Parts: sequence; structure tokens; C-alpha cells
Amino acid sequence: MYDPEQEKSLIFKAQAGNREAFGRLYDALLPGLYGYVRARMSSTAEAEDVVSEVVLTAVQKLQGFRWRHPGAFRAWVFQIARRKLADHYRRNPGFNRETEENETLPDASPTPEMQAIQHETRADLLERIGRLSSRKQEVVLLRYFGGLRNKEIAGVLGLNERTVSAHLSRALEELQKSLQEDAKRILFTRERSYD
Amino acid sequence: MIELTILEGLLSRAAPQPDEEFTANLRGVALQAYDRAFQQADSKRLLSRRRQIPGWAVAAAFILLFGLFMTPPGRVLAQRIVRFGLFIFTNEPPAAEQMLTATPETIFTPHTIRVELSSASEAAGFPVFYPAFLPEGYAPAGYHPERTVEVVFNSSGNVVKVGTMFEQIENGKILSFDQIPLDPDGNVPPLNFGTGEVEPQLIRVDGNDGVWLQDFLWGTKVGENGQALPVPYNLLIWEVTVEDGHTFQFWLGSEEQLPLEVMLQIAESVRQSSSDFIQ
Repeated sequence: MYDPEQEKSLIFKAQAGNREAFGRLYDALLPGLYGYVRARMSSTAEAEDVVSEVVLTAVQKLQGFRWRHPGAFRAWVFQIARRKLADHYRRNPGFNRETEENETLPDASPTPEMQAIQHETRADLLERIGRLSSRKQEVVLLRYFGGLRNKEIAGVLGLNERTVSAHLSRALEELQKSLQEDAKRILFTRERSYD
Repeated sequence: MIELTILEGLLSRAAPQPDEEFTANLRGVALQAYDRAFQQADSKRLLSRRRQIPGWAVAAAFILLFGLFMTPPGRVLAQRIVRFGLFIFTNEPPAAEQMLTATPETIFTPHTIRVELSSASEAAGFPVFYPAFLPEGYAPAGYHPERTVEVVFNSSGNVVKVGTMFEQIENGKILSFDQIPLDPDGNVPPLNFGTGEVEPQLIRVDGNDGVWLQDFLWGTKVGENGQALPVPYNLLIWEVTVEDGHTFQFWLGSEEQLPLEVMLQIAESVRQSSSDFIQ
């Protein structure tokens, strides 16, 4: 679990050559970073390439990073991720974010049935997120897949925290509405089947 | 009705997780890269310690401009004269060349404190300005990641300048930004400023009068044999009077010799410091 309050101490230690501190930063950051990048990529392999690039770039530039407030480091890493993703899109203009047909998304679920349900839920949610405006997509993915707080998202996107909060609320409302409409459609179909 | 909390739970659980093998492999690669980067940083730090002398020299040379190397206009026979605010630019030797021949007794060591940007105005006693834009690759120089701002006092305890030195991470070249408070009564007589063969260009900087000096010997550095060498800078100087009546002169010097358009971009981003600035 990432603790922004511990960030300052870990950063300073890592910048002073403490490998353990660097390792802890890596362990804390990687899941969210991967989650965010993977949601933006068409395959696991591509996502792993981009995540590797982000991590290595962050390592190279670590000495130049200046800590300012809790969460600043994570925002900085995700800014690098956004730039790497933009580079990837430029290099691959036919980019398509849809999940590959036969790809198994890694999952910690205990049973194959649960994995299947989660896979379906994830694909469905990604598809719905994909219908949001690009700014709302970014905010939702950074919040729930990247695990960032609103203040950190504001740092990544160059917005103020209130704007992020507004985008997030509207995005959730749209997602909620979209799910409700589908639920009604299913219910209506069932009712019709009793006619 | 789908509750928002349920939706948020679904979204959080939908985040793809990295494969364990990938995570472990990348961790190993990242640690190796970290070790390499840190070894390089160690070497750079050694170089940087040597570079502290030029850093000091730039500051000292700058301070000296107001004393040692500046002369009332009547005392020299200048062939070229360009007037800008306090200064009369002449073809006298530039500051860095004069500094090479200065004796230790004539160089005074200013009293300097380093503070965080957020407390710089309080330390200086006037609003401190700072560039909001820097070209890619520049970061504050030195070993104080938070205390990036230098406040320099003269022997009377008055602030002579407030400055920050940035460093190009790739090549270690300096970008210095200084703010000099000018006498509010404007009673200071004009001073000669030698620029050697460099022609000062009078320009406009964000709506204010300014001067551009290209390839100007402004700093010094220590050569391989320990000798002092003059270092050319591109230098942009401009004056601003702020709302409360304070007039400041800003000096932006680039050892990398950034072109005028980039220097203007930095100059135009200068504003009163706040917590929003990148330090």
C-alpha cells in the first residue's frame, strides 16, 4: 500500500543511495503504475514494455527530482508514464485499446469462474470508461487503476484539485447511468419474456 | 439503483495487476539501473564539487559588478556607450576578465543564506520572484533539495540579491536567475559595465526595458590545472517595477547559451513566488 506521508523520507534516502528505500518505492508504485498503463494498452506485452520504460526513466531522473509535497513523487512518475504512452501512440498510430481475444488478464481470484467474472467485469468497465471524454477517462483510470488521490491526479494532469473532483463526479455519474440503463434493458427484456 | 460506492468498488477491483514474474524481473533490472545511475551521480557529484567554485565565482563576479568592476562614467574613456537604467555599457573588459586579475583582498565574500522558496520573501524582506518555466533538463543546483534560493547580504546587512542557480542535468551547465532590489529613491548614480567586444542589444522583456548580451564573459571556472578561466554566458537583464513600488532588476544567465527566444520564455514566466512553483 502506498503511503504518501512516507514518500519524503523514502525519496531522500533513495536519492542518497539507499537501495532498500528505492526498492520500497518500486514495490509501492508498481501495481498502480501497471494498472494505469495496462488499461491504456492493447496487450500485456506492450504494457510491460511501457511500464519498464517508465521505471527506467524514473531511475535515471531520480537524482533530479525535487520533493515538494506528499504525493509529488507518484504524480511525477505518472507524468513520465503519460509521456511514454504518448510516445507509444505516436510510434503505433493504429493503436487499439481493446483487449486481445485470447489474452488472459492476470488475476488473483481463487477460482476460474471468479476469474471469468472479473475478466468480463473489467472488459465491460473498460468499454464503458472508453465512452467517457478523454479527460474523464484519464481521471477515472488514474484514480481507480493507478490508485492516485485527487491531489496527485491534479499534479499529473496540471489541473486544480477541485476540477479533478468535478471530472471524477461527472464521470462516475455517467458510468452509473450507463450501468443503470443496461440494467433496465435487461429487466425490461425479462418482463417481456413473461408476456 | 447502482450505488456509487459499489461502482467505485468495481472500478478499484477491475484494475489489472502485474504478473509476479514481470514484477520481480523488472525490480532486478531497476535496481541494477539504480546502482549504475548512482555510481554516475557519485562521479558527477565529485565534478560538481569542483564546479561549486565556478558557481561561487559567478555569484561573486555578479556582486563585484556593483563595486570592484563598476566605475563612475567619468573615470573611463569608453568608446561605446549604451545606457540602460543604472548601467552604462561600455567596451571596457568584461567582468569575468577583470575578476581574473583581481587580488584576493579586493574580492569580498558576501554573506549568503539558503532558504526554501516559500520563505524567501520573508528572508529577503520584499516579494521574491521566480521563473515558473524552465527548459527541460534543468533542476536547482547544489545539495539542498528544498533550500533552493540564495539570499545574499552585504556587510551592512542589506539584501544585495536573491538568486537561484539551476543546473542542466545532462551537462552540468548553469542557468542562474537573480533578482536585485534597486534603490527605491533612485539616488544611485549610473555605473559603467564593461562588456568588452560584446554589443549590448536593447530589447523589450515582457513589456519592460531589457538588455541582451550574447556570448558575454560573465562567469569563471577552474581549469584542469587549477587556473581560473572566463566562461561565456548569454545574459538577459530587465527591470520591473511591481505594484507596491519596488523596482527589481532581473538577471538571467545561461552557460549553455540558450537562445534569446528561450530566455525570453523563461523571463516571461517570472512571477511572485508561491507554493505552486517547481523547485
